[in-house]
Amino acid sequence: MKTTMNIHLAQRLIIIDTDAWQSLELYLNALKKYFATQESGDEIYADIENRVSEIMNQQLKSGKVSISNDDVAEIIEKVGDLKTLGIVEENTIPNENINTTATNSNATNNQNGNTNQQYNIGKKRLLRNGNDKIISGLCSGVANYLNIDPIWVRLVFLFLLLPAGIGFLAYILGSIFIPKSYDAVFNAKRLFRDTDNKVIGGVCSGIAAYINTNPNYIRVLFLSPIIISIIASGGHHWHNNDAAGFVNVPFFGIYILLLILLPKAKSASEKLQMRGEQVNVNSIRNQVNGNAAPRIQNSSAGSIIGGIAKLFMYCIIGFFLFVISMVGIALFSSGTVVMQFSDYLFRNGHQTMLANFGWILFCGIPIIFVILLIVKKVNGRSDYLPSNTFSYLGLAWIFGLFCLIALSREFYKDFKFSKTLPAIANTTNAFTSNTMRVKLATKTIDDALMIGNVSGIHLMDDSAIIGNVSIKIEKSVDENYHYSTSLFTRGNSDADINTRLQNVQYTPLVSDSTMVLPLGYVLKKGQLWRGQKINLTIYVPEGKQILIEDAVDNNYSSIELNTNPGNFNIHSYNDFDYDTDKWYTMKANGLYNENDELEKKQSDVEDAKEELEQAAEEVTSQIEEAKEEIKNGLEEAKDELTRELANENTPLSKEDVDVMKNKISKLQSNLDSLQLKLDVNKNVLIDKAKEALEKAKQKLEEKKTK
Amino acid sequence: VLHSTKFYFIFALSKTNKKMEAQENIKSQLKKGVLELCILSVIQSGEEAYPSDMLEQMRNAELHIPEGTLYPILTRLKNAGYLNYRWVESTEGPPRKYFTLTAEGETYCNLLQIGWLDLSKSVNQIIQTKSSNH
Repeated sequence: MKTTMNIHLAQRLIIIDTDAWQSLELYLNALKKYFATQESGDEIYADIENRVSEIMNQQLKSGKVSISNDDVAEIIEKVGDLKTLGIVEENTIPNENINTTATNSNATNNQNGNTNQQYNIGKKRLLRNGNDKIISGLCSGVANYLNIDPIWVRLVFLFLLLPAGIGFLAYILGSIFIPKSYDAVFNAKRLFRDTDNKVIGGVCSGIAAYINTNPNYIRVLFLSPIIISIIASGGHHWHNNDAAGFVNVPFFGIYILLLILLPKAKSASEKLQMRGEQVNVNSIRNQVNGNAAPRIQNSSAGSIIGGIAKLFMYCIIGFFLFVISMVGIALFSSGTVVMQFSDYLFRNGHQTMLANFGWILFCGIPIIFVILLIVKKVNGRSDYLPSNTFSYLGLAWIFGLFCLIALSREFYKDFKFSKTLPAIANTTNAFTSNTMRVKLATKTIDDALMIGNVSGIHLMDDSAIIGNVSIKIEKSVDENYHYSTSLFTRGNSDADINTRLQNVQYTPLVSDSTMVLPLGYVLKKGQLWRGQKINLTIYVPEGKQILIEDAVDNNYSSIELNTNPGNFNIHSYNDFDYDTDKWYTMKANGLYNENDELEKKQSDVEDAKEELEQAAEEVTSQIEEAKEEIKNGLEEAKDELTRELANENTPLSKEDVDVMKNKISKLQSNLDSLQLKLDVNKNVLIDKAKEALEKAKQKLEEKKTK
Repeated sequence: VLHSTKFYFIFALSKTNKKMEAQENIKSQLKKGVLELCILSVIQSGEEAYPSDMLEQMRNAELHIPEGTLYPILTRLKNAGYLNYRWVESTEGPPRKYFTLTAEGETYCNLLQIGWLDLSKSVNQIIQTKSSNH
């Protein structure tokens, strides 16, 4: 089925097939652009347009239903294309400057014989390029101005964006101040994605078309790090290979980057441009008719390479999507928790707005992105999405990121200064009991009133109780228990800090032998949380006991229990683990728990015992060794003697007797030395054992006196 | 005209490899070189001329040119003051341009015609001498 359309061409109504119109429009635009550069070009173009419409009008009058593609081809033949027309002029046309790509203006506007449109050919002006845009067309506009492939400008902008955001600012400013035009089209050879020969996104085949080679070479190049690492590791855990991973990531990154940044070669002229072929009416007609550069036939090796590439790409993309969505969901849900406290976190509407935008856009968009991708993949269509959806999502995400950066700058200022109000040693609250049990106040808040309770923070309609309290235990200077509190806060100025310090209220209740700690300090709505912290110090007199209940530890976000002297933190130093719900006694050297002490002494004795056993074992083994040695020596001597005696049967000469005598005396001396060795060893060993024993004893004694 | 003809002759020869193609090309180049003369002559022969009619007339004389080449030449001749045109209302479509020669155009046309006749005579003579030598 052919669709036709009605067009007004030079004040005549023409019925034309849609595809025929496309090639005609291409042709007319090419002429229009060319003649715009000539003197009185508008007039010439109008004449030609008039003639074309006249011919078509005649054809229709002669009984044709509509103008077909063949008719258009015939007309172009008759009237002449740029090649034949151009040569007639005195200044021959520089072929590569002829722009034959259809512009985006609507058909009727173009074809009313309205030839007053101004062209800026020759006069260079920086304009954003609406024909070729990813976000606002700035990069392709700059590329057009510099007459280079837009991909290079885009890459430069992207790298400027990464470290300092200069590129981002420049981009926003450029998008606002540089006007947009639809006239400019980059005509020279250009890197596209070749989706006709694609396996994944046509990046490799596009590069191949650009440098005029087989796409499989490029594919193998992209896959090579993976292949090499598989071969190098013999197929085992190749994905754990650090070196391969290091190479894989940039290659994969480059592919994704090009996939996003490179446009698809959609139209005939773009496909020609991709291969660096001359774009004119003839070559376009060939391209459209399928005469030029047929689809590359894939060999079986090629399809295997393609299959591998596809598999890896989908695995990696799937993994990344999974990670992105998981991180997004995690951030989003933690955001919902944080936003509950927005009344206490954000100083003004500005900060709240930044936080809301930042959180929703930065965390939400990755989730939306993944959902859209999945929907698109499942449905296999995306036409229900407005065009550029993903670009705008990306832009919004970057906006969210900048909101968060702006917010963190604000927070940096708000938390910049800090001050600790010195603890006032309160002599009036001295308690004379022998024990002190530290409890947490029972929650008097109605659960229904509580909006949220997150690790020691109780949120209510009009206020929040925050349990940011640190407890320290020190030795009292007198016979009584004391406590003191010191307040800490951050803020953006001294005045800010001082007013905040005045607002912090925290008073433990002490009655007889129990100390009841509040759930935290109260923040009324409108009072901000800027790191306020209570440092509570409890002074325990020597010989008296203290116990901190488990509930306290659970409620307070930071509990450090320090002892005097040395000010060491029980939680992290010494093998002395502080436990809640356990009685500790304050001694000269710090806090001690009776049970802990007993356990420690027992383990000390065990240690000494073990040491002694080890020493004894060593001594016995050494004695055994010495014994063995002597035994061997004696055995040897015996053997020699028997051998000598066996020689008695032969007549003995004087020399023989001498030799024998010598040997015997030698043997004797050997034995003597062995005996001597044994004696010496014995003494040494005994001394060693004695020494070890003494040491162990001494240690035990030392421990005992402790 | 001679200059441009020569130029295109050399241009065409150096550009193309295939002999047939070269010949075809040369013919069209030569045609275009004398197009100005032809157009002026066609207009001179009648009272007034409408471009489509001019094309028709040239076609009758076995002179086939791409129609698009006509319009730039007409405009150029008009700008040079050799041609005039007037709008004539048409029953269908937009008004038509009918061209006439100005006095200057008349003189120019005559000069061109004389020049062409002289030139073609010389060229023919050269070609004939050349072919008889062979």
